[in-house]
Amino acid sequence: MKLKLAVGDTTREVELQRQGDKLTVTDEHGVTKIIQLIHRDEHGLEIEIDGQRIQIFGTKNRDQKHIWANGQSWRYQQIKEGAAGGQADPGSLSVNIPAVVTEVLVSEGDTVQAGDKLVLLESMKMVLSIQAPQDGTVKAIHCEPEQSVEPGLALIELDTE
Amino acid sequence: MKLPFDKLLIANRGEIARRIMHTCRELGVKTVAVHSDIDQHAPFVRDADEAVSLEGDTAAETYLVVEKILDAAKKTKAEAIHPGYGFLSENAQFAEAVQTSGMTWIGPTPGSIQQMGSKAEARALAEKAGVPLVPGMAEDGHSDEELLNQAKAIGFPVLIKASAGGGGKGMRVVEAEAEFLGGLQATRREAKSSFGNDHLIIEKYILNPRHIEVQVFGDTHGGAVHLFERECSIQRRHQKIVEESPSPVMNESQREAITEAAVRLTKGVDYVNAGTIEFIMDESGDFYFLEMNTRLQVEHPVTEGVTGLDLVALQLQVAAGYALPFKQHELTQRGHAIEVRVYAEDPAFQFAPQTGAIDVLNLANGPGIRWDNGIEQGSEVSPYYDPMLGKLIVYGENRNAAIRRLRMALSDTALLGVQTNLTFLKEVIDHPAFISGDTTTGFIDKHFSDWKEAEPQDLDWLAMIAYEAWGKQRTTAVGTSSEAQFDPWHLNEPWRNV
Repeated sequence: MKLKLAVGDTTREVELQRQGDKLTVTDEHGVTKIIQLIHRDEHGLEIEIDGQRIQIFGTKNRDQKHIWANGQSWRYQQIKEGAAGGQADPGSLSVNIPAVVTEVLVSEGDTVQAGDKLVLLESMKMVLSIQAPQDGTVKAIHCEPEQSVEPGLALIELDTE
Repeated sequence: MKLPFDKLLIANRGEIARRIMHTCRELGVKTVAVHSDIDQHAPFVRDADEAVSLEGDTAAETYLVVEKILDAAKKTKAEAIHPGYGFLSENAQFAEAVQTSGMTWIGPTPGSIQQMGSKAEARALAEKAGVPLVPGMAEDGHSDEELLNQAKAIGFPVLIKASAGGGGKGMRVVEAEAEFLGGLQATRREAKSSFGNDHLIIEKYILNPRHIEVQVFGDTHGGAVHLFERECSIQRRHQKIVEESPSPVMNESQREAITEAAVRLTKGVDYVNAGTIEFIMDESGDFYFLEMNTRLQVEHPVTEGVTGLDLVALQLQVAAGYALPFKQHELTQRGHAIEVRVYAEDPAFQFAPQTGAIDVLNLANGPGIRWDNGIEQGSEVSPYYDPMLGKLIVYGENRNAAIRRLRMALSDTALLGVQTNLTFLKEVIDHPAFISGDTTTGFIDKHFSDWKEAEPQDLDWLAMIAYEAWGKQRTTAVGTSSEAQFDPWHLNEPWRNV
């Protein structure tokens, strides 16, 4: 199985072979390393590489991965080939923090393309935007300028094919 | 020692609220926390004996509302109020209202807060106390010729600035006499067009300045002491991020001069309780008064490290009317202490504040390591307040030992889920200029202006690969916290599909 990870603009692609607690990793240059899993719990892992134990703390959810290892933390992403932007299912769009709507840039029935800005908001004195995750049609708008919106509240519904 | 108050309300939040409660528990004083809605489950609220909701989220509707805080004190029968730093700590009306309600105010008199809150009055008082000010003069009716003579008397380079200016605008450094009159005209034009006011000030330009401050304490019996200096030159966006005591460069005679000046001012204004007098120091070791902060400072643990004193306990004793329990000559500055401020921010992107959940918190521990934290594992960093998560303070027998300890403590600390400045701080204290004590207020701009995180090494990639293979997906069982990670500067990510 292939795995591609990115830290900022730097990427690394490897070939993985997993047999239970043993992971064989082969990099682009054909160099192979064996990682042995010693322990794992909800906050991380302990592994062994070439006889050296490494403690890893980590957290991950759908699009954020953050680990601590070797005295430093790293934020990384998994790059999935063919999945542009890595965004999951389209549908209702909402913000994650309280914000105030400054401008609604689309109307119901508008055709939009992935990346188009749909709504501008302001929070913490910053301007944020909600962008279309995929091509589609604006099905419904549930917000208006100057409205305070709460996290999780659907602001726009998008029909995507 | 018996304190005349049994219950103290802390009009603050986060790490400083916990810090104050810690001392209260030691001294047997009950504590009352006040909190916003979003802070209701914060560690500082649980640390308190009682808690009162201030109803609302923003600071303006909670921690800054005098009436709500006084009501909370009345409701819980609190007999004293500690304001911490920030929020209402330097609000003379609040201090006055606390005293009028019959409670003990843990801080200087409202009069002192007022005096030092006015830049002009503070300068005048400093001058009267014989504390050096940055040499300069306002143009008030002086001819250009007189201004030039003044500039020559001060010595080049000089700074010409608009008195209505600020934040670096309307300022010009003039290196030599020949450029002076031209510079004067140009600055005057800019000041006129930018601020609608062309009144100028000529001032000595301090090259490579250091920020040095002196911790002082006064009591109600006329006693006043200093608790030595702190150097806080390492700043980003005009905010301190690394503070230490002693200063890495100051010699004994400089220390004597600056601390004596600080005590003169403290005595000159009959200052009571904890205060900090800030100075700017030039390359030759000459120092000039900047301002006086009439509160407990964020970086007070550095002073606690080298003096062995508890500054909050001293504040309570002095506020209770006791004399300072020591004389100046009994105080010593022992070893070396360094504090770093840990922020939820992105150092590679103009230190933009970050929000999100703290999914993993594993703090370094050991001899000489102290954490003053407002957070715990599972805490949510909201956009409502200052993004400082806590402070790491280390103590060592000398500066090299303290740096070594700090390097280890920063490396050993895992704080995951929200982006922090931990890696950045580690590189700052590892920089040769920091290690050699070449610390000026321009340090970050000079050495870290285009800072980027280093690229991962082979072993780091392998750790990521292992975690990708075996790491457990964080569930959303603890509310929406891990889902709600939000990076305000990454415009593609501030929303999710629901």
